[in-house]
Amino acid sequence: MTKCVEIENLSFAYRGNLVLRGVNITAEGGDFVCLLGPSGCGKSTLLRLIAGLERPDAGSILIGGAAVSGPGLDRGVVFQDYSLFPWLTAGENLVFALEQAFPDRRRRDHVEDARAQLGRVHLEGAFDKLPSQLSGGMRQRVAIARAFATDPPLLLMDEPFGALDAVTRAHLQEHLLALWQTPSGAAKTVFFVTHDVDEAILLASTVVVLGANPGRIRGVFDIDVARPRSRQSIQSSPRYLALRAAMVDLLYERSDDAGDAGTPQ
Amino acid sequence: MSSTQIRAGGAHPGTRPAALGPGRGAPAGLHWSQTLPAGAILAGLLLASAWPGSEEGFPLYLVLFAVGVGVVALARWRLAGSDVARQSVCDVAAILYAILLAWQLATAHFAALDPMLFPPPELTLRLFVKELPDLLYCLRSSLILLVSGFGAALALSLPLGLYVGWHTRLHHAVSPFTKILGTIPPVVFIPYIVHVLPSFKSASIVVIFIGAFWPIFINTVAGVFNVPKGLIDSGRVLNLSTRKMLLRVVLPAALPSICTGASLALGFSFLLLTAAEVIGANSGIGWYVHYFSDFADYHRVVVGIIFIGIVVVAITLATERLERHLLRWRS
Repeated sequence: MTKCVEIENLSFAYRGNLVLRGVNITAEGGDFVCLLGPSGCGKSTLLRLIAGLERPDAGSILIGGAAVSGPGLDRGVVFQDYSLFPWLTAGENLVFALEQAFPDRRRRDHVEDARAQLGRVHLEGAFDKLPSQLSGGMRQRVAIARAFATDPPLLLMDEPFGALDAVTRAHLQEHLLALWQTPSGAAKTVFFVTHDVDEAILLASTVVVLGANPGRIRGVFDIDVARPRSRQSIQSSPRYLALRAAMVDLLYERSDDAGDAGTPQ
Repeated sequence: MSSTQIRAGGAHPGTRPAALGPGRGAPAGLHWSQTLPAGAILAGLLLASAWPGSEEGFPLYLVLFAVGVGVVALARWRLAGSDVARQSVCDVAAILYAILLAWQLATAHFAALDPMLFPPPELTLRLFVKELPDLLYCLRSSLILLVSGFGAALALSLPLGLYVGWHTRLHHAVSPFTKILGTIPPVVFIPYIVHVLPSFKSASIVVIFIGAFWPIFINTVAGVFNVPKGLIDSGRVLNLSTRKMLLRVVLPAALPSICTGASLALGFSFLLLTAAEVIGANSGIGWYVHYFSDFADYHRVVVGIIFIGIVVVAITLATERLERHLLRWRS
Protein backbone atom coordinates (compact mmCIF):
# COMPACT_ATOMS: atom_id res chain seq x y z
CA MET A 1 0.00 0.00 0.00
CA THR A 2 1.15 3.51 -0.76
CA LYS A 3 1.74 5.94 2.06
CA CYS A 4 -0.91 8.57 1.46
CA VAL A 5 -0.37 10.80 4.47
CA GLU A 6 2.73 10.95 6.63
CA ILE A 7 2.67 13.28 9.60
CA GLU A 8 5.96 13.48 11.46
CA ASN A 9 6.64 15.07 14.81
CA LEU A 10 4.12 17.81 14.13
CA SER A 11 3.80 20.73 16.54
CA PHE A 12 1.69 23.83 16.31
CA ALA A 13 1.30 26.83 18.61
CA TYR A 14 -1.30 29.56 18.52
CA ARG A 15 -0.54 32.84 20.28
CA GLY A 16 2.07 31.21 22.46
CA ASN A 17 -0.13 28.26 23.46
CA LEU A 18 1.02 24.87 22.32
CA VAL A 19 -1.99 23.36 20.53
CA LEU A 20 -0.36 20.21 19.18
CA ARG A 21 2.86 18.54 20.29
CA GLY A 22 4.82 15.83 18.55
CA VAL A 23 2.04 14.27 16.50
CA ASN A 24 2.92 11.29 14.33
CA ILE A 25 0.33 9.67 12.07
CA THR A 26 0.76 7.56 8.98
CA ALA A 27 -2.17 6.68 6.77
CA GLU A 28 -2.20 4.44 3.73
CA GLY A 29 -4.27 4.90 0.62
CA GLY A 30 -7.88 3.97 1.36
CA ASP A 31 -7.61 4.40 5.13
CA PHE A 32 -10.48 5.97 7.02
CA VAL A 33 -8.84 7.77 9.93
CA CYS A 34 -10.99 9.25 12.66
CA LEU A 35 -9.42 11.91 14.86
CA LEU A 36 -11.27 11.51 18.15
CA GLY A 37 -10.89 13.73 21.15
CA PRO A 38 -12.46 16.16 23.59
CA SER A 39 -12.92 19.79 22.62
CA GLY A 40 -9.70 21.74 22.75
CA CYS A 41 -7.48 18.78 21.92
CA GLY A 42 -6.43 20.29 18.61
CA LYS A 43 -8.14 17.73 16.37
CA SER A 44 -9.64 20.41 14.12
CA THR A 45 -6.31 22.22 14.07
CA LEU A 46 -4.63 19.02 12.97
CA LEU A 47 -7.11 18.74 10.11
CA ARG A 48 -6.54 22.39 9.15
CA LEU A 49 -2.80 21.72 9.09
CA ILE A 50 -3.32 18.80 6.72
CA ALA A 51 -5.62 20.99 4.61
CA GLY A 52 -2.84 23.58 4.39
CA LEU A 53 -4.96 26.27 6.06
CA GLU A 54 -2.37 26.59 8.86
CA ARG A 55 1.39 26.10 8.85
CA PRO A 56 3.11 23.84 11.39
CA ASP A 57 5.71 25.28 13.74
CA ALA A 58 7.69 22.07 13.70
CA GLY A 59 7.53 18.72 11.94
CA SER A 60 6.21 17.91 8.52
CA ILE A 61 3.15 16.70 6.66
CA LEU A 62 3.69 14.73 3.48
CA ILE A 63 0.83 13.90 1.15
CA GLY A 64 1.71 11.35 -1.50
CA GLY A 65 5.35 12.05 -0.64
CA ALA A 66 5.15 15.81 -1.18
CA ALA A 67 5.25 18.34 1.66
CA VAL A 68 2.11 20.39 2.21
CA SER A 69 2.77 24.04 1.41
CA GLY A 70 -0.80 25.34 1.31
CA PRO A 71 -4.34 24.42 0.38
CA GLY A 72 -4.78 22.33 -2.75
CA LEU A 73 -7.34 20.55 -4.84
CA ASP A 74 -5.76 17.18 -4.03
CA ARG A 75 -7.65 17.47 -0.74
CA GLY A 76 -11.42 17.84 -0.53
CA VAL A 77 -12.58 19.54 2.66
CA VAL A 78 -15.98 19.48 4.37
CA PHE A 79 -16.51 21.79 7.33
CA GLN A 80 -19.23 21.68 9.96
CA ASP A 81 -20.75 24.81 8.45
CA TYR A 82 -19.88 27.44 5.85
CA SER A 83 -18.83 24.70 3.43
CA LEU A 84 -21.29 25.94 0.81
CA PHE A 85 -21.41 29.45 -0.56
CA PRO A 86 -24.90 30.65 0.43
CA TRP A 87 -25.37 32.85 -2.68
CA LEU A 88 -24.86 29.91 -5.04
CA THR A 89 -27.42 27.17 -5.55
CA ALA A 90 -26.46 23.62 -4.62
CA GLY A 91 -25.69 22.90 -8.28
CA GLU A 92 -23.68 26.10 -8.74
CA ASN A 93 -21.65 25.26 -5.65
CA LEU A 94 -20.61 22.00 -7.29
CA VAL A 95 -20.02 23.64 -10.67
CA PHE A 96 -17.83 26.27 -9.00
CA ALA A 97 -15.64 23.58 -7.43
CA LEU A 98 -15.53 21.59 -10.68
CA GLU A 99 -14.46 24.70 -12.62
CA GLN A 100 -11.59 25.09 -10.18
CA ALA A 101 -10.55 21.46 -10.38
CA PHE A 102 -10.96 20.99 -14.14
CA PRO A 103 -10.54 24.40 -15.78
CA ASP A 104 -10.26 23.04 -19.33
CA ARG A 105 -13.58 21.25 -19.38
CA ARG A 106 -16.67 22.89 -20.78
CA ARG A 107 -19.28 24.38 -18.51
CA ARG A 108 -21.95 22.07 -19.89
CA ASP A 109 -19.94 19.07 -18.74
CA HIS A 110 -19.56 20.60 -15.31
CA VAL A 111 -23.32 21.09 -15.01
CA GLU A 112 -23.93 17.51 -16.10
CA ASP A 113 -21.29 16.23 -13.69
CA ALA A 114 -22.71 18.32 -10.83
CA ARG A 115 -26.16 16.83 -11.46
CA ALA A 116 -24.75 13.32 -11.39
CA GLN A 117 -22.83 13.98 -8.17
CA LEU A 118 -25.94 15.38 -6.48
CA GLY A 119 -27.70 12.22 -7.62
CA ARG A 120 -25.15 10.15 -5.72
CA VAL A 121 -26.32 11.73 -2.47
CA HIS A 122 -29.98 11.51 -3.60
CA LEU A 123 -30.39 15.25 -4.09
CA GLU A 124 -31.07 15.41 -7.84
CA GLY A 125 -33.94 17.79 -7.18
CA ALA A 126 -31.84 20.23 -5.17
CA PHE A 127 -29.72 21.50 -8.08
CA ASP A 128 -31.48 24.88 -8.23
CA LYS A 129 -32.07 25.21 -4.50
CA LEU A 130 -30.15 27.76 -2.43
CA PRO A 131 -28.47 26.42 0.72
CA SER A 132 -30.92 28.45 2.82
CA GLN A 133 -33.75 26.45 1.24
CA LEU A 134 -32.19 23.13 2.30
CA SER A 135 -32.14 21.44 5.71
CA GLY A 136 -28.86 21.13 7.60
CA GLY A 137 -28.54 17.49 6.61
CA MET A 138 -29.16 18.25 2.94
CA ARG A 139 -26.56 21.03 3.02
CA GLN A 140 -23.95 18.64 4.37
CA ARG A 141 -24.89 16.08 1.71
CA VAL A 142 -24.30 18.74 -0.94
CA ALA A 143 -20.98 19.62 0.70
CA ILE A 144 -19.96 15.95 0.68
CA ALA A 145 -21.06 15.61 -2.94
CA ARG A 146 -18.90 18.62 -3.77
CA ALA A 147 -15.90 17.16 -1.97
CA PHE A 148 -16.28 13.91 -3.93
CA ALA A 149 -17.05 15.69 -7.21
CA THR A 150 -13.53 16.99 -7.72
CA ASP A 151 -12.28 13.45 -7.05
CA PRO A 152 -9.40 14.22 -4.66
CA PRO A 153 -7.42 11.26 -3.29
CA LEU A 154 -7.74 12.67 0.23
CA LEU A 155 -10.89 13.86 2.01
CA LEU A 156 -10.75 16.00 5.16
CA MET A 157 -13.91 16.30 7.22
CA ASP A 158 -14.15 18.53 10.28
CA GLU A 159 -17.09 17.31 12.37
CA PRO A 160 -19.31 17.42 9.28
CA PHE A 161 -22.28 15.92 11.14
CA GLY A 162 -21.68 17.80 14.39
CA ALA A 163 -24.67 20.13 14.04
CA LEU A 164 -27.18 17.49 12.92
CA ASP A 165 -29.81 15.57 14.86
CA ALA A 166 -29.15 11.92 15.67
CA VAL A 167 -31.33 10.44 12.93
CA THR A 168 -30.01 12.66 10.15
CA ARG A 169 -26.52 12.01 11.41
CA ALA A 170 -27.04 8.23 11.14
CA HIS A 171 -28.33 8.59 7.58
CA LEU A 172 -25.38 10.74 6.56
CA GLN A 173 -22.89 8.31 8.08
CA GLU A 174 -24.39 5.60 5.85
CA HIS A 175 -24.26 7.94 2.84
CA LEU A 176 -20.63 8.71 3.51
CA LEU A 177 -19.64 5.06 3.90
CA ALA A 178 -21.48 4.18 0.69
CA LEU A 179 -19.63 6.93 -1.18
CA TRP A 180 -16.28 5.98 0.36
CA GLN A 181 -16.65 2.30 -0.58
CA THR A 182 -16.95 3.04 -4.28
CA PRO A 183 -17.71 0.05 -6.50
CA SER A 184 -14.64 0.84 -8.56
CA GLY A 185 -12.58 0.07 -5.47
CA ALA A 186 -10.61 3.30 -5.68
CA ALA A 187 -11.45 4.13 -2.10
CA LYS A 188 -10.30 7.52 -0.91
CA THR A 189 -8.27 8.24 2.16
CA VAL A 190 -10.39 10.07 4.72
CA PHE A 191 -9.45 12.08 7.80
CA PHE A 192 -12.58 12.61 9.84
CA VAL A 193 -12.72 14.72 12.99
CA THR A 194 -15.32 13.80 15.61
CA HIS A 195 -15.90 13.78 19.34
CA ASP A 196 -18.41 10.93 19.06
CA VAL A 197 -16.94 7.52 19.98
CA ASP A 198 -19.72 5.57 18.23
CA GLU A 199 -19.36 7.59 15.06
CA ALA A 200 -15.60 6.97 15.08
CA ILE A 201 -15.94 3.19 15.46
CA LEU A 202 -18.72 2.93 12.89
CA LEU A 203 -16.77 4.81 10.22
CA ALA A 204 -13.07 4.35 10.81
CA SER A 205 -10.47 1.83 9.89
CA THR A 206 -8.17 3.62 12.34
CA VAL A 207 -9.14 5.81 15.29
CA VAL A 208 -6.56 8.23 16.64
CA VAL A 209 -7.49 9.39 20.15
CA LEU A 210 -6.15 12.79 21.07
CA GLY A 211 -5.80 14.38 24.49
CA ALA A 212 -5.77 18.04 25.40
CA ASN A 213 -3.28 20.52 26.93
CA PRO A 214 -1.30 20.24 24.77
CA GLY A 215 -2.97 18.25 22.03
CA ARG A 216 -1.18 14.98 21.53
CA ILE A 217 -1.90 11.41 20.58
CA ARG A 218 -3.17 9.29 23.46
CA GLY A 219 -3.85 6.12 21.55
CA VAL A 220 -4.31 4.56 18.14
CA PHE A 221 -6.87 1.82 17.52
CA ASP A 222 -7.30 -0.35 14.47
CA ILE A 223 -10.99 -0.98 14.02
CA ASP A 224 -10.98 -4.56 12.81
CA VAL A 225 -14.78 -4.88 12.68
CA ALA A 226 -15.93 -6.36 9.38
CA ARG A 227 -17.59 -4.13 6.78
CA PRO A 228 -20.24 -3.37 5.75
CA ARG A 229 -20.98 -2.17 9.25
CA SER A 230 -24.32 -1.03 10.43
CA ARG A 231 -25.21 0.75 13.62
CA GLN A 232 -27.42 -2.14 14.72
CA SER A 233 -25.05 -5.01 13.91
CA ILE A 234 -21.86 -3.65 15.45
CA GLN A 235 -23.37 -2.59 18.72
CA SER A 236 -23.82 -6.19 19.81
CA SER A 237 -20.34 -7.30 18.79
CA PRO A 238 -17.97 -7.92 21.73
CA ARG A 239 -15.08 -6.41 19.76
CA TYR A 240 -17.03 -3.16 19.40
CA LEU A 241 -17.77 -3.07 23.10
CA ALA A 242 -14.12 -3.66 24.01
CA LEU A 243 -12.91 -0.94 21.63
CA ARG A 244 -15.53 1.47 22.87
CA ALA A 245 -14.64 0.83 26.51
CA ALA A 246 -10.94 1.37 25.82
CA MET A 247 -11.56 4.64 23.97
CA VAL A 248 -13.97 5.99 26.54
CA ASP A 249 -11.39 5.18 29.24
CA LEU A 250 -8.77 7.18 27.35
CA LEU A 251 -11.14 10.10 26.73
CA TYR A 252 -12.26 10.43 30.31
CA GLU A 253 -8.87 9.79 31.88
CA ARG A 254 -7.54 13.04 33.30
CA SER A 255 -4.80 14.09 30.97
CA ASP A 256 -2.60 15.72 33.63
CA ASP A 257 -2.14 12.58 35.73
CA ALA A 258 -1.83 10.37 32.67
CA GLY A 259 1.50 11.93 31.85
CA ASP A 260 3.06 11.10 28.55
CA ALA A 261 1.68 7.69 27.83
CA GLY A 262 3.09 7.78 24.32
CA THR A 263 1.11 5.97 21.69
CA PRO A 264 -0.05 2.59 22.95
CA GLN A 265 -1.32 0.16 20.39
CA MET B 1 -39.04 3.77 15.45
CA SER B 2 -37.58 7.19 15.94
CA SER B 3 -37.53 7.83 12.20
CA THR B 4 -41.28 7.23 11.88
CA GLN B 5 -41.84 9.60 14.77
CA ILE B 6 -39.94 12.30 12.96
CA ARG B 7 -41.89 11.70 9.78
CA ALA B 8 -45.17 11.93 11.67
CA GLY B 9 -43.92 15.15 13.24
CA GLY B 10 -42.94 16.44 9.83
CA ALA B 11 -46.49 16.02 8.51
CA HIS B 12 -47.95 18.01 11.33
CA PRO B 13 -46.78 21.55 10.45
CA GLY B 14 -48.27 21.12 6.97
CA THR B 15 -51.73 20.80 8.43
CA ARG B 16 -51.40 23.71 10.79
CA PRO B 17 -51.90 26.75 8.51
CA ALA B 18 -55.25 25.35 7.34
CA ALA B 19 -56.30 24.89 10.95
CA LEU B 20 -55.12 28.39 11.83
CA GLY B 21 -56.74 30.13 8.85
CA PRO B 22 -60.38 30.12 9.98
CA GLY B 23 -59.24 30.81 13.53
CA ARG B 24 -58.23 34.32 12.47
CA GLY B 25 -61.88 34.96 11.58
CA ALA B 26 -60.94 36.53 8.22
CA PRO B 27 -62.16 34.45 5.30
CA ALA B 28 -60.45 34.90 1.96
CA GLY B 29 -62.03 37.45 -0.37
CA LEU B 30 -63.02 41.09 -0.13
CA HIS B 31 -64.81 41.59 3.13
CA TRP B 32 -67.02 44.66 3.35
CA SER B 33 -65.43 45.78 6.63
CA GLN B 34 -62.02 45.94 4.95
CA THR B 35 -63.10 48.45 2.32
CA LEU B 36 -65.61 50.37 4.41
CA PRO B 37 -63.30 53.17 5.63
CA ALA B 38 -61.76 53.76 2.19
CA GLY B 39 -65.16 53.60 0.49
CA ALA B 40 -66.79 55.95 2.98
CA ILE B 41 -64.05 58.56 2.72
CA LEU B 42 -64.01 58.28 -1.08
CA ALA B 43 -67.78 58.88 -1.07
CA GLY B 44 -67.21 61.92 1.15
CA LEU B 45 -64.51 63.18 -1.17
CA LEU B 46 -66.70 62.78 -4.26
CA LEU B 47 -69.56 64.48 -2.45
CA ALA B 48 -67.30 67.38 -1.48
CA SER B 49 -66.13 67.60 -5.10
CA ALA B 50 -69.68 67.73 -6.42
CA TRP B 51 -70.64 70.37 -3.86
CA PRO B 52 -70.16 73.82 -5.35
CA GLY B 53 -67.06 75.08 -3.56
CA SER B 54 -65.38 78.43 -3.81
CA GLU B 55 -64.25 79.94 -7.12
CA GLU B 56 -63.65 76.88 -9.28
CA GLY B 57 -65.98 74.65 -11.25
CA PHE B 58 -66.16 70.88 -11.02
CA PRO B 59 -62.76 69.47 -9.84
CA LEU B 60 -62.30 67.00 -12.68
CA TYR B 61 -58.60 66.28 -11.99
CA LEU B 62 -59.27 65.55 -8.33
CA VAL B 63 -62.09 63.13 -9.12
CA LEU B 64 -60.01 61.41 -11.81
CA PHE B 65 -57.09 61.17 -9.41
CA ALA B 66 -59.27 59.70 -6.65
CA VAL B 67 -60.75 57.16 -9.07
CA GLY B 68 -57.25 56.36 -10.34
CA VAL B 69 -56.04 55.71 -6.82
CA GLY B 70 -59.06 53.43 -6.34
CA VAL B 71 -58.25 51.47 -9.51
CA VAL B 72 -54.59 51.05 -8.48
CA ALA B 73 -55.66 50.02 -4.97
CA LEU B 74 -58.08 47.44 -6.38
CA ALA B 75 -55.37 46.04 -8.66
CA ARG B 76 -52.92 45.82 -5.77
CA TRP B 77 -55.63 44.30 -3.62
CA ARG B 78 -56.18 41.56 -6.18
CA LEU B 79 -52.44 40.87 -6.39
CA ALA B 80 -51.93 40.87 -2.62
CA GLY B 81 -50.98 37.47 -1.26
CA SER B 82 -52.31 37.69 2.28
CA ASP B 83 -55.15 39.12 4.32
CA VAL B 84 -52.71 41.44 6.04
CA ALA B 85 -51.50 42.81 2.69
CA ARG B 86 -55.09 43.25 1.46
CA GLN B 87 -56.05 45.07 4.63
CA SER B 88 -53.07 47.41 4.36
CA VAL B 89 -53.93 48.26 0.72
CA CYS B 90 -57.40 49.33 1.87
CA ASP B 91 -55.98 51.27 4.83
CA VAL B 92 -53.44 53.13 2.69
CA ALA B 93 -56.19 54.11 0.24
CA ALA B 94 -58.35 55.30 3.14
CA ILE B 95 -55.56 57.49 4.55
CA LEU B 96 -54.79 58.97 1.12
CA TYR B 97 -58.48 59.79 0.59
CA ALA B 98 -58.66 61.31 4.07
CA ILE B 99 -55.71 63.59 3.29
CA LEU B 100 -57.29 64.65 -0.03
CA LEU B 101 -60.64 65.24 1.65
CA ALA B 102 -59.13 67.32 4.46
CA TRP B 103 -57.05 69.28 1.93
CA GLN B 104 -60.10 69.88 -0.27
CA LEU B 105 -62.30 70.97 2.63
CA ALA B 106 -59.65 73.21 4.18
CA THR B 107 -58.83 75.01 0.93
CA ALA B 108 -61.70 74.92 -1.56
CA HIS B 109 -64.67 74.82 0.81
CA PHE B 110 -63.88 76.60 4.04
CA ALA B 111 -60.92 78.68 2.82
CA ALA B 112 -59.26 78.08 6.16
CA LEU B 113 -55.76 78.38 4.66
CA ASP B 114 -54.11 81.17 2.74
CA PRO B 115 -54.82 80.34 -0.94
CA MET B 116 -51.51 81.85 -1.97
CA LEU B 117 -49.50 79.41 0.16
CA PHE B 118 -51.89 76.43 0.03
CA PRO B 119 -53.43 75.76 -3.38
CA PRO B 120 -56.48 73.46 -3.37
CA PRO B 121 -55.89 69.90 -4.64
CA GLU B 122 -57.64 70.51 -7.97
CA LEU B 123 -55.38 73.47 -8.77
CA THR B 124 -52.27 71.58 -7.64
CA LEU B 125 -53.10 68.55 -9.79
CA ARG B 126 -53.81 70.73 -12.80
CA LEU B 127 -50.58 72.65 -12.33
CA PHE B 128 -48.70 69.39 -11.83
CA VAL B 129 -49.89 68.08 -15.20
CA LYS B 130 -49.10 71.42 -16.85
CA GLU B 131 -45.63 71.62 -15.32
CA LEU B 132 -44.77 67.97 -15.91
CA PRO B 133 -42.68 68.56 -19.08
CA ASP B 134 -40.62 71.23 -17.30
CA LEU B 135 -40.30 69.04 -14.20
CA LEU B 136 -39.13 66.08 -16.27
CA TYR B 137 -36.55 68.30 -17.97
CA CYS B 138 -35.34 69.39 -14.52
CA LEU B 139 -35.31 65.78 -13.39
CA ARG B 140 -33.15 64.88 -16.35
CA SER B 141 -30.46 67.42 -15.49
CA SER B 142 -30.63 66.42 -11.82
CA LEU B 143 -30.30 62.74 -12.64
CA ILE B 144 -27.24 63.43 -14.82
CA LEU B 145 -25.51 64.97 -11.79
CA LEU B 146 -26.74 62.27 -9.44
CA VAL B 147 -25.79 59.35 -11.64
CA SER B 148 -22.36 60.83 -12.47
CA GLY B 149 -21.45 61.58 -8.85
CA PHE B 150 -22.94 58.45 -7.31
CA GLY B 151 -21.77 56.22 -10.16
CA ALA B 152 -18.19 57.48 -9.92
CA ALA B 153 -18.25 57.01 -6.14
CA LEU B 154 -19.56 53.46 -6.49
CA ALA B 155 -17.11 52.57 -9.25
CA LEU B 156 -14.15 53.76 -7.18
CA SER B 157 -15.10 52.98 -3.59
CA LEU B 158 -16.26 49.42 -4.21
CA PRO B 159 -13.01 47.99 -5.65
CA LEU B 160 -10.95 50.15 -3.30
CA GLY B 161 -13.00 48.98 -0.32
CA LEU B 162 -12.63 45.34 -1.38
CA TYR B 163 -8.86 45.73 -1.71
CA VAL B 164 -8.37 47.64 1.54
CA GLY B 165 -10.69 45.34 3.50
CA TRP B 166 -8.87 42.26 2.23
CA HIS B 167 -5.37 43.46 3.11
CA THR B 168 -5.38 43.68 6.89
CA ARG B 169 -2.24 45.81 7.15
CA LEU B 170 -3.57 48.35 4.67
CA HIS B 171 -6.92 48.28 6.48
CA HIS B 172 -5.29 49.23 9.78
CA ALA B 173 -3.12 51.87 8.11
CA VAL B 174 -6.03 53.55 6.35
CA SER B 175 -8.72 53.36 9.03
CA PRO B 176 -7.70 56.51 11.01
CA PHE B 177 -7.98 58.54 7.81
CA THR B 178 -11.36 57.09 6.86
CA LYS B 179 -12.60 57.76 10.37
CA ILE B 180 -11.71 61.46 10.10
CA LEU B 181 -12.49 62.13 6.45
CA GLY B 182 -15.63 60.00 6.42
CA THR B 183 -17.22 61.84 9.32
CA ILE B 184 -16.93 65.38 7.91
CA PRO B 185 -20.46 66.32 6.81
CA PRO B 186 -20.14 66.64 3.02
CA VAL B 187 -22.40 69.71 2.95
CA VAL B 188 -19.53 71.79 4.35
CA PHE B 189 -17.52 71.07 1.21
CA ILE B 190 -20.07 72.72 -1.05
CA PRO B 191 -19.02 76.41 -0.82
CA TYR B 192 -15.34 75.48 -1.04
CA ILE B 193 -15.70 73.14 -4.00
CA VAL B 194 -17.96 75.57 -5.85
CA HIS B 195 -15.07 78.05 -5.71
CA VAL B 196 -12.34 75.55 -6.55
CA LEU B 197 -13.98 74.00 -9.59
CA PRO B 198 -14.72 75.84 -12.84
CA SER B 199 -18.38 75.00 -13.33
CA PHE B 200 -21.40 74.35 -11.16
CA LYS B 201 -21.89 71.01 -12.85
CA SER B 202 -18.42 69.69 -12.02
CA ALA B 203 -18.66 71.09 -8.49
CA SER B 204 -21.95 69.39 -7.70
CA ILE B 205 -20.75 66.09 -9.19
CA VAL B 206 -17.66 66.24 -6.95
CA VAL B 207 -19.77 67.09 -3.90
CA ILE B 208 -22.09 64.16 -4.58
CA PHE B 209 -19.04 61.97 -5.20
CA ILE B 210 -17.54 62.86 -1.81
CA GLY B 211 -20.86 62.35 -0.05
CA ALA B 212 -21.41 58.95 -1.64
CA PHE B 213 -17.82 57.71 -1.55
CA TRP B 214 -17.32 57.34 2.20
CA PRO B 215 -20.48 55.44 3.16
CA ILE B 216 -19.86 52.90 0.39
CA PHE B 217 -16.14 52.65 1.12
CA ILE B 218 -16.53 52.31 4.89
CA ASN B 219 -19.30 49.73 4.61
CA THR B 220 -17.44 47.75 1.96
CA VAL B 221 -14.30 47.61 4.11
CA ALA B 222 -16.36 46.60 7.15
CA GLY B 223 -18.26 44.02 5.08
CA VAL B 224 -15.05 42.45 3.77
CA PHE B 225 -13.49 42.51 7.22
CA ASN B 226 -16.50 40.69 8.70
CA VAL B 227 -16.83 37.96 6.09
CA PRO B 228 -17.13 34.71 8.08
CA LYS B 229 -13.73 33.06 8.25
CA GLY B 230 -15.32 29.74 7.33
CA LEU B 231 -16.35 31.10 3.92
CA ILE B 232 -12.79 32.30 3.27
CA ASP B 233 -11.50 28.85 4.26
CA SER B 234 -13.98 27.23 1.87
CA GLY B 235 -12.56 29.43 -0.87
CA ARG B 236 -8.98 28.70 0.13
CA VAL B 237 -9.41 24.92 0.04
CA LEU B 238 -10.67 25.34 -3.54
CA ASN B 239 -7.31 26.98 -4.28
CA LEU B 240 -8.91 30.20 -5.56
CA SER B 241 -6.70 32.94 -6.93
CA THR B 242 -6.85 36.24 -5.04
CA ARG B 243 -8.87 37.72 -7.89
CA LYS B 244 -11.43 34.91 -7.81
CA MET B 245 -11.49 34.95 -4.02
CA LEU B 246 -12.31 38.66 -4.00
CA LEU B 247 -14.86 38.60 -6.83
CA ARG B 248 -16.62 35.31 -6.17
CA VAL B 249 -16.40 34.86 -2.40
CA VAL B 250 -15.58 38.12 -0.62
CA LEU B 251 -17.70 40.42 -2.79
CA PRO B 252 -20.93 38.40 -2.51
CA ALA B 253 -20.32 37.72 1.18
CA ALA B 254 -19.83 41.46 1.83
CA LEU B 255 -22.77 42.46 -0.36
CA PRO B 256 -25.29 42.93 2.48
CA SER B 257 -22.98 45.50 4.07
CA ILE B 258 -22.20 47.07 0.68
CA CYS B 259 -25.93 47.47 -0.03
CA THR B 260 -26.39 49.20 3.32
CA GLY B 261 -23.59 51.60 2.44
CA ALA B 262 -24.90 52.19 -1.08
CA SER B 263 -28.43 53.05 0.02
CA LEU B 264 -27.01 55.37 2.69
CA ALA B 265 -24.85 56.95 -0.01
CA LEU B 266 -27.82 57.37 -2.33
CA GLY B 267 -29.74 59.20 0.38
CA PHE B 268 -26.74 61.51 0.95
CA SER B 269 -26.40 62.04 -2.81
CA PHE B 270 -29.98 63.21 -3.09
CA LEU B 271 -29.59 65.57 -0.17
CA LEU B 272 -26.38 67.02 -1.58
CA LEU B 273 -27.82 67.26 -5.09
CA THR B 274 -30.76 69.37 -3.99
CA ALA B 275 -28.57 71.41 -1.63
CA ALA B 276 -26.08 72.12 -4.42
CA GLU B 277 -28.88 73.00 -6.85
CA VAL B 278 -30.34 75.47 -4.42
CA ILE B 279 -26.94 77.20 -4.23
CA GLY B 280 -25.97 77.57 -7.84
CA ALA B 281 -27.81 75.69 -10.58
CA ASN B 282 -29.90 76.89 -13.50
CA SER B 283 -31.86 73.68 -13.86
CA GLY B 284 -32.80 70.67 -11.77
CA ILE B 285 -35.55 69.73 -9.35
CA GLY B 286 -33.96 71.46 -6.36
CA TRP B 287 -33.43 74.55 -8.48
CA TYR B 288 -37.09 74.46 -9.57
CA VAL B 289 -38.37 74.72 -6.01
CA HIS B 290 -35.82 77.36 -5.07
CA TYR B 291 -36.41 79.43 -8.22
CA PHE B 292 -40.19 79.67 -7.85
CA SER B 293 -40.02 80.40 -4.14
CA ASP B 294 -37.89 83.43 -5.05
CA PHE B 295 -40.83 84.60 -7.18
CA ALA B 296 -43.28 83.77 -4.36
CA ASP B 297 -44.97 81.28 -6.73
CA TYR B 298 -45.77 78.87 -3.93
CA HIS B 299 -48.17 76.84 -6.02
CA ARG B 300 -45.25 75.73 -8.19
CA VAL B 301 -43.14 75.23 -5.06
CA VAL B 302 -45.77 72.82 -3.72
CA VAL B 303 -45.90 71.05 -7.08
CA GLY B 304 -42.09 70.79 -7.11
CA ILE B 305 -41.97 69.40 -3.57
CA ILE B 306 -44.61 66.77 -4.42
CA PHE B 307 -42.68 65.87 -7.57
CA ILE B 308 -39.41 65.45 -5.62
CA GLY B 309 -41.26 63.26 -3.14
CA ILE B 310 -42.53 61.03 -5.93
CA VAL B 311 -39.04 60.78 -7.47
CA VAL B 312 -37.44 59.86 -4.15
CA VAL B 313 -40.09 57.22 -3.46
CA ALA B 314 -39.62 55.75 -6.95
CA ILE B 315 -35.83 55.60 -6.56
CA THR B 316 -36.13 54.10 -3.08
CA LEU B 317 -38.56 51.43 -4.27
CA ALA B 318 -36.31 50.56 -7.21
CA THR B 319 -33.19 50.25 -5.06
CA GLU B 320 -35.05 48.20 -2.45
CA ARG B 321 -36.16 45.85 -5.17
CA LEU B 322 -32.62 45.63 -6.55
CA GLU B 323 -31.28 44.93 -3.07
CA ARG B 324 -33.86 42.19 -2.47
CA HIS B 325 -32.87 40.64 -5.78
CA LEU B 326 -29.13 40.80 -5.05
CA LEU B 327 -29.56 39.39 -1.55
CA ARG B 328 -32.29 36.86 -2.34
CA TRP B 329 -29.98 34.07 -1.11
CA ARG B 330 -30.33 35.30 2.45
CA SER B 331 -32.98 33.37 4.31
